Amino acid sequence: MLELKGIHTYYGESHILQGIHLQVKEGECVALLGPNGMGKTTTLRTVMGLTPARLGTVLFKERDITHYPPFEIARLGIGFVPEDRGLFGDLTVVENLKVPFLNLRQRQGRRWAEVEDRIYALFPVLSERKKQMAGTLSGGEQQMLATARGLISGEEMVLLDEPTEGLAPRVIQNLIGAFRKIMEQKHTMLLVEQNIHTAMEIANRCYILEKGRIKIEEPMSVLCQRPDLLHQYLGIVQTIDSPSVNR
Amino acid sequence: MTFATFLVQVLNGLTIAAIYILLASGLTIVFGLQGIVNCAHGFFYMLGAYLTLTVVGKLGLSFWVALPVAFLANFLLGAALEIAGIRKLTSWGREFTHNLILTLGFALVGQEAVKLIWGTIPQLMNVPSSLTGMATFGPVSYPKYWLFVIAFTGLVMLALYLFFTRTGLGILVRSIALNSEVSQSLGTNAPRINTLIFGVGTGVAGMAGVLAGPILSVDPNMAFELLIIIFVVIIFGGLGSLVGVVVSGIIIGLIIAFGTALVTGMFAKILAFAVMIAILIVKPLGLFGRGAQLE
Repeated sequence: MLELKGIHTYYGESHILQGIHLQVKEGECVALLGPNGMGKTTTLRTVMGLTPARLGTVLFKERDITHYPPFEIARLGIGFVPEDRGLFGDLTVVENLKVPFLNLRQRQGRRWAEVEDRIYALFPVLSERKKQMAGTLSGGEQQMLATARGLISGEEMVLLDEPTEGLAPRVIQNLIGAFRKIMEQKHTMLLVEQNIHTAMEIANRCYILEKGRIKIEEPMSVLCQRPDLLHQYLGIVQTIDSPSVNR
Repeated sequence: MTFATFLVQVLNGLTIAAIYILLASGLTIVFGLQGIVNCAHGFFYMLGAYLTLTVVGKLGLSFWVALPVAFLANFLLGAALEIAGIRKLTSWGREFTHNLILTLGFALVGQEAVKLIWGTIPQLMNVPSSLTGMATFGPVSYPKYWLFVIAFTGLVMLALYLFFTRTGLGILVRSIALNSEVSQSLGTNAPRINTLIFGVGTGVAGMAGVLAGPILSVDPNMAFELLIIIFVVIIFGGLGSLVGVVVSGIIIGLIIAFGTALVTGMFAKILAFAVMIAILIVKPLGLFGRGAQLE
């Protein structure tokens, strides 16, 4: 569904992505792992057209979208949940959800009630916060709202950037439950994570990025069995329980 | 000061405020949305007044035709400036200073064009015949036209407020003001909406010119002195805040009216600046300012 071929991306003069190749198939959740500053966020920004690639091709459903403006990429059905959530703090919860919906309605004639029901089934707490300003939500609720927003615009697939960063373990469990439900609905996901445990719980396959290049591509279940790789690339020493899902 | 003269001064203050608010709203909205100061805003105001001279004086059409004509002509010209200039500069990553210079240059060229077309001599504009004369209520008599200017501004501001808070497009506009990049990655066609809002801002400035024509003078420098006060209104209200513009416009309008009546016009303007400075010491972002935003 999504394919990156030889992507080189720069911030000004610094060469961040140095030839990334990766693929996400329909119905798959792919995790992009690696320490900070290795280009994980930049990869998502390149797909979204926010920091377009200088070299290489981004294909979405066989279409070359490398140089599309961000809003047109979003309108192809790619949802984006940015790092630090990027909520519109002075808009209410409903208004935040309406932003992708209004852009969706233009092209697909979806009804708000349907969209709303789907979102509140996944994140019931949001239905209790409809009129509240997004900036006043708790960290977990903010992440749910950001995810919900990304799901509305991302009818085909969603890009998630560190969705569990800075959240309490109980809240993370809650979110993971929601992500699993999303994956059960045959959604497609590209997930950037620092937290290997989250990735283990939901991803099928993973890539490990180092200094702007893909170093490892493995099924998630294989990575769990390889303490040497975990140690070398992610600095993880303790053993990791095998994932509680098997897909 | 009797109660009647007090009331008259309040109405004077509101009339002045109405022109300020109409002019300031477009500037503050565009700043809140795109973070740019449109130095050509005064030119659009002047163009509105001159277009009325032509539509009413030369073509013999009614004032009520001139008002939408001025809005539409200024909307189109503003949108064209946005597409051909500001959008290009923004896409090259040249946002603030370059746009300042671009719009300033546009204003200078525009002003010279106005001199070539309409001449440099100050011209008179008549009050539309249906609004001549005075309205009397109790002890107070007040020009009907001036009351109309207050009411019209009230309606425009109400329409803008409802647009921003109650419509889908309004939500999209506010989302761009809060975080343009995220809004675009959720599918918002921000470039097109920016153009639309820029055009609405210049269109409203054009209508301000039409309304101010019969009250103030119509000459190629009509915008300059006014624009300085307009910046006071915007900063005082809090950059990017529509509510702030209304509140600060009324406060400064009243200061100017009472200051002029009780002392002199010069004193009134100094007082307006002094009040702004005092407020900014206490609230550096202005009365309703929270950084760039729309509300």
